[in-house]
Amino acid sequence: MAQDFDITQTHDHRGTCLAVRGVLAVENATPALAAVRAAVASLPAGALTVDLSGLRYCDAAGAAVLCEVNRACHDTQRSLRFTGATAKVQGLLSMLNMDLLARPACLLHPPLPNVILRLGAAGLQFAADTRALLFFVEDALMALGYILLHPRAIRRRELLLYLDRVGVDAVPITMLVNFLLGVTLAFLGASQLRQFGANLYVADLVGIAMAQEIGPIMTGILIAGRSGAAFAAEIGTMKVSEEVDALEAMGFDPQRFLVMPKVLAALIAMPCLLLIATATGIIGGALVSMAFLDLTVFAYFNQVYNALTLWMIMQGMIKAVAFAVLAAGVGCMRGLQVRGGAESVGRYTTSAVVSGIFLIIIANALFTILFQYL
Amino acid sequence: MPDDVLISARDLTTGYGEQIIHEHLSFEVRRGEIFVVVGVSGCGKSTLLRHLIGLQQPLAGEVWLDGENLTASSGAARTRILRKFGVLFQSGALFGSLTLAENIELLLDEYTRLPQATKEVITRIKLALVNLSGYENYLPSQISGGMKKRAGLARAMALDPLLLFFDEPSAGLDPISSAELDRLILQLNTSLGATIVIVTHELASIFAVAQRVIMLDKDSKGILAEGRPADLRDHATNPVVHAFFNRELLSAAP
Repeated sequence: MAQDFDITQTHDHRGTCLAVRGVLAVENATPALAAVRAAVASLPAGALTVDLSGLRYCDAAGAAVLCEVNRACHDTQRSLRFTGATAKVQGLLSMLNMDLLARPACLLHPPLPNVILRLGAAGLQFAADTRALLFFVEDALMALGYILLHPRAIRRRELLLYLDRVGVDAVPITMLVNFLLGVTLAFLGASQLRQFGANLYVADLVGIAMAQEIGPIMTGILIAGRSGAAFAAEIGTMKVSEEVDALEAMGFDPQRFLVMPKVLAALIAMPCLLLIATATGIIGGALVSMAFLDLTVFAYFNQVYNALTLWMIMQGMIKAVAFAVLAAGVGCMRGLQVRGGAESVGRYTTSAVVSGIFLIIIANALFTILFQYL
Repeated sequence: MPDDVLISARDLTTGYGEQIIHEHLSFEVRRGEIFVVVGVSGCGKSTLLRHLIGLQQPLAGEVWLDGENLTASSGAARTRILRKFGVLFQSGALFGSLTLAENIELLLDEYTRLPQATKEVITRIKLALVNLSGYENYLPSQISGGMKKRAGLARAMALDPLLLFFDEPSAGLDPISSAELDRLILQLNTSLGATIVIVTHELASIFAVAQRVIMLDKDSKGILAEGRPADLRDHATNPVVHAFFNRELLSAAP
């Protein structure tokens, strides 16, 4: 039914009459709209009557076409009248307030007019975010202090559950990632060091890099991606379903009940994960050294043993623990910031991972500089 | 403050950011009564509830509960005030990772030093009170919406509070479950002497349980009417109040 309608114009002493006949529906609304616009534009000034007596069927798309007539007449300040509509069409028309439809819908947040105002708004948003972060850290430290003074207050079952999720479940991916990083580092080092005949020092490179830099960073990022996101989504969903409100109304501190078990679990799991990460990285390096650099297993591990100091391993551990607390903490914070519904949970989960990785990289730079002076 | 006043809202002004929801709102809830806050959608019933239970701080004014200032309290004093009441949230707000029994035991763990066996008995008593005997080890996701509400009520009653808040108790319930919940509310009031504050716009429920209602107004940001629901239905002169309690269109002039 491509063109089931037609529009004819007649003129008499009372003004112009447009007769619309046939069907106005979703299927032919596009050509109908064009035809109506053309017809109204070509009309002489004066009152307009639209005769709908020949209109057999009209749906919402058809009503939109009639609204367009109304809008065009409104724009040119022409008076408009619909006549002769059949009962069905009249029923539809009586439920429409065409003048209201012609007005634009109100915007909840009108866009800011210029760049300076927008920059200002973004600045205020950043300040509010920073403030929220500081308040969160304050609350978290208070909760941590309470837990340290009252170790029995921590729910042991929750802690074990999260240790399993953050620690044990992360072992396979930690091993895989760090093993391949060890292999990559060894290849990279080998291609350079071989030129100087310094093959043996590949062991130093892999050992120190894995223990001090790459291991903590990679494991931290894994925690941010796995657990930070999980914590944000979990707490965010609890927020949406009023569970966090219920906790607060019961007089429970969400920091202590929701945040602490997760952060403590990350804090405990992280050093263990880092040990596994460093070990698998060094083993990855060993395989490359044996296969391509003619080093013996003994020579490689002996060299690693001589290169690594306890202080280097401690540096890695200190970093790792800090990264874990940052990633888990920011995940929980984002979760608590969720307002509204599912969309908000998604947004803050994303934000948890991004902020987590960002904080880890910043903290790593600060630690590396700090340790230079110690 | 007279002894029989349990909650007193004093000159409360509430809102989010620049949007004011209530202005200079004052009312009192007496000990042992069933007090219902009604109003059309969007008039701030739930916001008022969030203020009464301390989830939100008012922009101005105070909420007093059992002779103590909730608004100005913090730390241990606040926890002590919060312990005096229980809240049933709209969807129950049970903790999804815990079974029904654990949801209730959580409160007993935190606030009492009872032996485990006693806690279990108390938990079973509370669940039996809301007709959920036998469902102790179910997770919230395994039971229906009406059961979740009842379980939420059992949790709200875990510490035998002298005051219970209900947020839209009949929302999303079929008429039978809704009537059951009404009966339970009346029972708690008469048998246990609990004071009950309900936020709702469900007329049937209001007439069934309410002893006194206040109707909030969106435009004046204050209280539009106060009294017994039947009186408001029959004698209200304000057209909005009349239309609300008689379930009529606002434009229908008498």
